Amino acid sequence: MKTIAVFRKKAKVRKEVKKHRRFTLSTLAKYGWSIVRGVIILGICFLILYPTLVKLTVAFMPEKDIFDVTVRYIPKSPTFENFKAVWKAMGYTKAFWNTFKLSALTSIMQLISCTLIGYGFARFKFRGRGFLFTLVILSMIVPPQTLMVPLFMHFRYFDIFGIFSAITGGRGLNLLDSYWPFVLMSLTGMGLKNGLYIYILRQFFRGMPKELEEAAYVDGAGMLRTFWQIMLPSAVPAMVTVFLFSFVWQWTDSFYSTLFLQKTKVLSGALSSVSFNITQQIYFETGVNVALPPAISSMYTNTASLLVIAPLLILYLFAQRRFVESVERSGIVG
Amino acid sequence: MTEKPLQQAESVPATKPLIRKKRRLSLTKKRAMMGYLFVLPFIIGLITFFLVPLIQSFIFSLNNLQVSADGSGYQLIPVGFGNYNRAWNVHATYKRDLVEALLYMVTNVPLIIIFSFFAANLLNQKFRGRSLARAIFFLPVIVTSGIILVVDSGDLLQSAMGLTQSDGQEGAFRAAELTRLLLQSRLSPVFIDYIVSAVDRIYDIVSASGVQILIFLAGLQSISPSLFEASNIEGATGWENFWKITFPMVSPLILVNTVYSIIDTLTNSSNTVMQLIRDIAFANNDYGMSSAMAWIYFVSILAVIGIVIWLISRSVFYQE
Amino acid sequence: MSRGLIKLLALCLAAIMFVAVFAGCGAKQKDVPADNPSEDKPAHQPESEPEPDPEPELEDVRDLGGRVIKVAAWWDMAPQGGSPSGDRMVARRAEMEQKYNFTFEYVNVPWDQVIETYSSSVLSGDPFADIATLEDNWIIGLVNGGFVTELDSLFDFNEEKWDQVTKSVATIDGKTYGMATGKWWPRGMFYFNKNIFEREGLENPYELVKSGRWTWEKMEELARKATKDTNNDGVIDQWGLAGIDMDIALVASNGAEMASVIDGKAKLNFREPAVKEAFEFYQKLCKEKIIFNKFDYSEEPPWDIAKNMFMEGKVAMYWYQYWNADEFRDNMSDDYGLLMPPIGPSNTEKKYYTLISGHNFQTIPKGVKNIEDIAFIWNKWTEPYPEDLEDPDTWKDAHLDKMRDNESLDMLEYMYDNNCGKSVGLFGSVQAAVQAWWGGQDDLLKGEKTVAQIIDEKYDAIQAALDDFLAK
Repeated sequence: MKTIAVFRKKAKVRKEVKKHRRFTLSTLAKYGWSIVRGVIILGICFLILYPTLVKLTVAFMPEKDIFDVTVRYIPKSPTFENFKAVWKAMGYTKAFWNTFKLSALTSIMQLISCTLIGYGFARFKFRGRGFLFTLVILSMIVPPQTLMVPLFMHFRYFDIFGIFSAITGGRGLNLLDSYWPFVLMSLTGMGLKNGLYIYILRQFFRGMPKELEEAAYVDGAGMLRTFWQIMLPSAVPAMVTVFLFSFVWQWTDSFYSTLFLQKTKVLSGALSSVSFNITQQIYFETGVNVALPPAISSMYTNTASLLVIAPLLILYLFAQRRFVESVERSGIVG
Repeated sequence: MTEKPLQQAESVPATKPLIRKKRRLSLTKKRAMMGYLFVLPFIIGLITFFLVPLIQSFIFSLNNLQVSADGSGYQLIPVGFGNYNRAWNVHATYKRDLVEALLYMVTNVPLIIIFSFFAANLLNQKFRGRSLARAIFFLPVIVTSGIILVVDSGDLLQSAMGLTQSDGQEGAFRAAELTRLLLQSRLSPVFIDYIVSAVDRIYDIVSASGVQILIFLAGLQSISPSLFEASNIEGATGWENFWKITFPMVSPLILVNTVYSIIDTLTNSSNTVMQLIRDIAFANNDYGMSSAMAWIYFVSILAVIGIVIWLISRSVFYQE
Repeated sequence: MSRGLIKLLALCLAAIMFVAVFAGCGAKQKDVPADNPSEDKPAHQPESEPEPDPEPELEDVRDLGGRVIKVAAWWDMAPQGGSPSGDRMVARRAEMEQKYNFTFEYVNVPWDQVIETYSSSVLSGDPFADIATLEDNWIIGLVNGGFVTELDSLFDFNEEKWDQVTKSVATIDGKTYGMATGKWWPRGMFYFNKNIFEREGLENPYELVKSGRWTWEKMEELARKATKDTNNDGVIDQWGLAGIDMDIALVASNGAEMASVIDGKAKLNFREPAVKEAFEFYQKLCKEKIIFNKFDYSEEPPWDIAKNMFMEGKVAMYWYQYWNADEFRDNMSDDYGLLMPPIGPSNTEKKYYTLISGHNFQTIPKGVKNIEDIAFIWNKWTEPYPEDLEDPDTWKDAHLDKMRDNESLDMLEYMYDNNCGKSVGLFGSVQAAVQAWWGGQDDLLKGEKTVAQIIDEKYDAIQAALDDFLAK
């Protein structure tokens, strides 16, 4: 009798030990995975961050540290002078405001137009859909630089079916040096990389269950209302992503900005000219046209590029917190 | 007597027109028209801003462009398909550059897709510092775009910092130091070469994956949690969840990302063919040939993408 | 469906109005001159200094009818007040704009997009600027394409104010296309280590330059004396010479150039006697180990190891570029001085030549309307200020922090007074040629092949690259 009780106890203990072991095994697996994940993410983050970190260190170095071969990563006497010089030379406040206006304007318009167009491609069957979509892809392939000369002429002598030249007697409207080319191109889904946005949104809308639409239709909602109240909210992550892309790419764009804007100063132009403008300031102060040593001009350019990148990161963090994570938490999706 | 049935028959046509009218406003037709309406802005934009310059560029490719001496613009001197012939048969490196670019793309794009999918999954899990990690992963998108890319690729920062340079190569990970280290370990040089080029590749792939990671992330965030709850109740493992739910739901985006990666690898400014096209236009002032080269290149890319889409679309899961 | 359609149309209408408001803001932006310092017109100072004006009063009066003259560069050339030189430019601008009834508008195009903007706008018949700044590397390509206006008929380049080095850089096939005033910034430069010279008892190179005896033979003699094994371990650790791109400098100092434009065609001068002579001289020095040879000393030498050797005090004479002086000033324990390249045997004019690159100047694109008006205004704008004529040494201040002695400054002065700058010309403008020649430079340094062999190997490829560049 004792033995049976002992057996039972032993069995119980063995079971508990087994449970205990299984418990540690799975938590070990979980912890193991977190560690592996942490290491991978840290590794990739370092890889991504390294060039920017180098820029950061250089931005805080005064001129003599740049030439001091013993100084590699940590400045001996960190300074804010570079930032101040670059801020002034770029005309940062004004350029920032102009760029912000332009990027916000085009991004919102591109978001609206590309969402509508993407939805059109996704949910409606009409003749020529395939052909038109091939043209969407073609618009992604052909980079704007290739069409530079025709584009330039197109906006210089802008005309629709000869109406304007008939009215003004000239060769057409000169739309250069204004926001108009941006506005027109964004509203019609022909802005920078808009083909990509249309494609993204189309795939998103196609990936949504048809039952949702049909349920709404049965409930008496028109096509527009279905779009507005049912489909759009589910596409918020995609729309936020498209907005971010559009904003960033317009912010850093130098091709269209140079082509279409001559007097308005934007950040991309300010960045590319910053070391030359500093040289110019020296010229005004001393009367001599010095040439900055390559290391110094590189330092100014890197400092300036930090000033251009920073607002974008702030925007990203803001958009992440406000839009995407709130959607996840509230569980609108599905 | 036989006329009566005829009269009866004649009364039927009176109802037919009504049925015909209803058919014109059928659901499919209505939806087609709505479709056109949604897509209308794009059609307008396409014609005004894309097709016209495109056709102009095609016309350029069939001519030699000269600046008119009186300063009124340009003159066209027709050469038929001469430019195309020169580009394909006569030019020393065009054909080779084209093929090399395509091969490079074929090896890189799958790596980019796999890596970005993996990274997006990582970023979608809950862990501390997730927002920061996401912000850091967003950095490549910024840094490889527009003016920042131009400024960085022409930068002399490395030499100012005293970082080792080997024959004009830039970038902290262009592994001069790594090579030296590996050489000391006495591995065979072929193996060392492979490792070093893999390290180079890793950096390339990580910085080219920014956009794709974000797109995948958006897709992952759109999968409704209720699906996972339902499957967990049914007793599915994480592995099964991944393959039966996550992967299919995100598969439409695999298509976008593949197409985008192909296009990005082949048309970004550091690509040899793109540089050639640009140099022929603006350094050699041969706009006609530059346009011809561009046309050949872009049509090939379109063909490649067409094949890729056809291949992948079969396995994409749409809820239709 | 009709309700839905109305809603859609309403949405579109709203979007269009929203857009119109913003575009209106954008359009208004166009009219308001954003950050023009010409706003401070109240700072109008009457031109009281007596200006040496040989032209009769009649020609001075011109009314440009409110024309906007666009001046472009890859920086913002608009004069800014706040310093003496800035203020006087602002004043002159205001005075000229009022007198001749026009306005200056300064356009800032990014450096990497200048060529494209230049050519696209000329092709479209509407040049992006009336006066456009260009770099020396770009001018040949643009002239060849027919995008630039000839300047000989518009400006008298014999006047004092025009920089003659710019004129020679911007003259292609006998016609001048670019102009600049003021002093060009030095680029190619020889440095010598004073401590080594003293230690080895070598002649003072400054004296040699002044007496015209700084020649190839002299340089070889001095370099030979300086090359030795200082610690008797059988390995040479002090060299007479080191440098980067020294072969090109020697070609220039021999009175020749690497490639020329003759009658619109490219000619690679590698087989010319003067150029061959320069390469052979260079290789002789390499073979005799008088020049520091990077290939002998490490696995994968960094491209600037020659500079580091000089900085560590192991080389007597070093050739590369002026901006190296900043590093030397801070990190070099030995004293250094500045020199020009010595005169080569084929340099019949016995003139010192040093290379310049990255030099920029103004041009007038094709298609600019009323060129005579532009030329008139620009002539007036570039008149020297009286203060500069009185005190010609103000330029020296900017160079002082690069030098360790006054004789270096004298060298610069000599260089400016005698227009010793020479551009690399066509060769430097064609990237493909430059890159193809890197292999040739390495071969010269290694000394394994003969000069004739190296030239034969590289000649066709480089000539083809040059031909491609100039092909119409």
